Amino acid sequence: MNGTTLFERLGAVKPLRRFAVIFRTLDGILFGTRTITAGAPHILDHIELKRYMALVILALLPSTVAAIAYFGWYALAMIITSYICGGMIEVAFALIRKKSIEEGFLVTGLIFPLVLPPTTPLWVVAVGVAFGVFFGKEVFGGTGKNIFNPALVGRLFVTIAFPEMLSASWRAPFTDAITSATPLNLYRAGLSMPPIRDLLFGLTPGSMGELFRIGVIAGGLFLLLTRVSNWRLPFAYLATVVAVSALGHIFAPGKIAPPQIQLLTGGLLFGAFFMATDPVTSPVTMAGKFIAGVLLGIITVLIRSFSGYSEGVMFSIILMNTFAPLIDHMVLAVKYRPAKS
Amino acid sequence: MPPWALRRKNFALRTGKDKEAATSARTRTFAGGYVFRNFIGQPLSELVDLGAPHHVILGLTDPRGVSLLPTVQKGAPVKAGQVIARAPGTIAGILLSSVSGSVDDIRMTDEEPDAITIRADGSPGWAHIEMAGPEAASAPPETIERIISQSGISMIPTRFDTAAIAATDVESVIIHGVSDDVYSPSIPLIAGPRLADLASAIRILRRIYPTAGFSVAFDTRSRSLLRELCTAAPQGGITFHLLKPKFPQQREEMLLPVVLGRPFPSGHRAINCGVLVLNIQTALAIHDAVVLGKPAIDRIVALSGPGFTRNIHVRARLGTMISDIVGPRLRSTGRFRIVENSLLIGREIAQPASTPIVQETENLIAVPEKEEGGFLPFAGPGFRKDSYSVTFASSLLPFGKEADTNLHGEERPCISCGFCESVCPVRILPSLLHRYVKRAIIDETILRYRITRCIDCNLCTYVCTSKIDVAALIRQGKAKLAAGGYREISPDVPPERLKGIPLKEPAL
Repeated sequence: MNGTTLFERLGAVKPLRRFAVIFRTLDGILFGTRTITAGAPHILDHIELKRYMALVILALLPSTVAAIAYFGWYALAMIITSYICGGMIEVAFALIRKKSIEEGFLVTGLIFPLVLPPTTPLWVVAVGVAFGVFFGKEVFGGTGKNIFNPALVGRLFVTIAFPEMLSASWRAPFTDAITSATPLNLYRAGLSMPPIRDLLFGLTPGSMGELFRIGVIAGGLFLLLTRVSNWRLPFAYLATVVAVSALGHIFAPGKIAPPQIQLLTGGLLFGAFFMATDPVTSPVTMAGKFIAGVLLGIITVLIRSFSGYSEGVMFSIILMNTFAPLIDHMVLAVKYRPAKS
Repeated sequence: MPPWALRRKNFALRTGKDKEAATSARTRTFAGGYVFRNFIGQPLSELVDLGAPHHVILGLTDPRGVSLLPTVQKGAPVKAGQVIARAPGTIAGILLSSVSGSVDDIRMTDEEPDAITIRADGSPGWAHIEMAGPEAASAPPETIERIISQSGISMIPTRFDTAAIAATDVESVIIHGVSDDVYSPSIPLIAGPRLADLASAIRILRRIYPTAGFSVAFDTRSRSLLRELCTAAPQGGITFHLLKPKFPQQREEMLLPVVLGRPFPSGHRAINCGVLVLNIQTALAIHDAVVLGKPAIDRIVALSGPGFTRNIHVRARLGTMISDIVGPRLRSTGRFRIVENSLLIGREIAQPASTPIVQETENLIAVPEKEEGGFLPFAGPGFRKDSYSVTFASSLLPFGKEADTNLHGEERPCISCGFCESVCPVRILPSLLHRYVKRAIIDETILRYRITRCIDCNLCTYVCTSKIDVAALIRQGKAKLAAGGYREISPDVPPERLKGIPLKEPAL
């Protein structure tokens, strides 16, 4: 209101005018909003999307730091590549739409490299994040309108497009040896499993961010306690995995791994706490979140045990994203039955 | 689960020292809602009597919307408590002068609401209500009802004023002292020294509504007051309730389900269910009228919020200009917004110099207009920032929180975070409904999703992560439905069970 800011003046300069959106975004990040409420309610909660997403990034910090510690600067290079490539698409769409750059990308751009194997070439990271942001989010109309989790769309794309790089070449922390066997592969092959301690600290081959499981659990609980993510879905998801695998292990011990192995291998914890809880792509209704969690748990154990893939978290979350609107529709149909007349 | 389903806890088990009240009091609340804690600028337990101002402006429309006709001429001398306007014809309804002096102006124009201005002469005292006195409390009901109908307290059903419902239709009376808002007047200040008078008011009301059930509800912050009142109040027929100080518990839409366990009729008023809801000040005014003969000419008004140099309560005459009350007490630095009664649902007083206080005024709030966000506002620990989410340090530490009018963020598309659903006191899905309204899908679907249950508490807008005015969109949806001729499907209270004349046109 009173006087224009540096960014507003920059955005008004003629050659820079088309980038006004970028200046507006920067201004919002650095100096907040200058708008006041128009009427009742006269005061508003201090939560905003920037804070919300910043908290998710904070919760991802243990996983991120562990990934860099385990796999060196290459892990950091993957994260930076993801931010730059995905960010360019995000900014391009913001310029076309003439709307502020939205904060959700900050999370997508970090989650995507964290669900990749540490051996992924940088150009695959770039292609994957670009595909994920473009086809997973922007074509649907941007934040809040996407059906699928953009990071998972990218991950699914690279998994199918480059199978030899994405599901056959793994590397354990602090080693250089390329292996094709994650703990879940070992279990399916009937080989001996690494000790629980190694699984907790993530000293086994796997995707970068999912390994340091103590940090994943801490970050996940942090999000639940701050109410950034709703506890219903991860709770139902993990509880169902434990229940289904405990039961299944009794009947098919060779196929279905016991609960402790299920929980501490693959991307289950990471997926349950950081990906399935994505508010946009999971069911809106509280009952729907429970139902989605239970379905996720069943599908994950089934894929892990009986499909051609040893890991099922990504597929089950993508499947659940597909069914989320249907789940909501059914919950609402039951909750608000048409009036009997 | 129906929206009026309650969570009840046995209060006796929780605190041993409350055994006395525990015989009947339990802590009750509803699902959803939000407890506003620790805001800086709470009104202190301090009362200043402002006396008569130099002039008052009294509106010529009563709470039902009935236009009153002046019974005095311009220039005529009047005494505080004297009738200066009456409802036309056979409708009951009077307006009393709140000061002694002379009629300065009778404004009856099309531009502004009709009003009478009275210039005060500074003489003390008031016109004693006829037949009132200490013995009137045990007089026949007819006498009491006549006194009340002459006292200027509106909306109390009596045989002389049945505009809402007949006195015999009153099934329940709820007297409540609940502070549920960001800022609320101090219940201990208003009720604390006057518990005996409150008990007397209950006795009086029981004489005129002999078949009605009585409920007294205080919030848990006034626990000890309720215990004392429990011993002072007449025996039998009264239930005492402790309510959680959760917004919007004070609204009759929430008192009915929580205190009585009855569904609220969407779009109507509690009185149409035969429930008379009184706050403590009104209950005390009934005692003052009947026992002391004092007409309802003044109110205790809290001055809250960071904008005042000292957050006190004032006793002010009805019709006093808001600028006369807040003007000398506002901080000199900064720009403040004056809001009446509630920061969540109250109206902004844009012209305090020409807006008088009315019978419903109980709180004047001054909040800073903050047109800057500060540096990196989303990043700090947030010791003084309030949030429904637990993402700021203020949720864990007992620092006083700051209230201001900044949006605290930019508007974004809805990400379905679910906060609005969690706080909604009537258990509807604001995030879902607002999408329908935004896309202009106004039909049976949103009606089936119970959009009509919305009570406009604005909590969904307050907590919104994406800074969307969800409540305004839902209001818009309700208005468009009504304009489109849609009617509520299977209302919680069938229309044939409603009583009297609706006070306002139901929203649907």
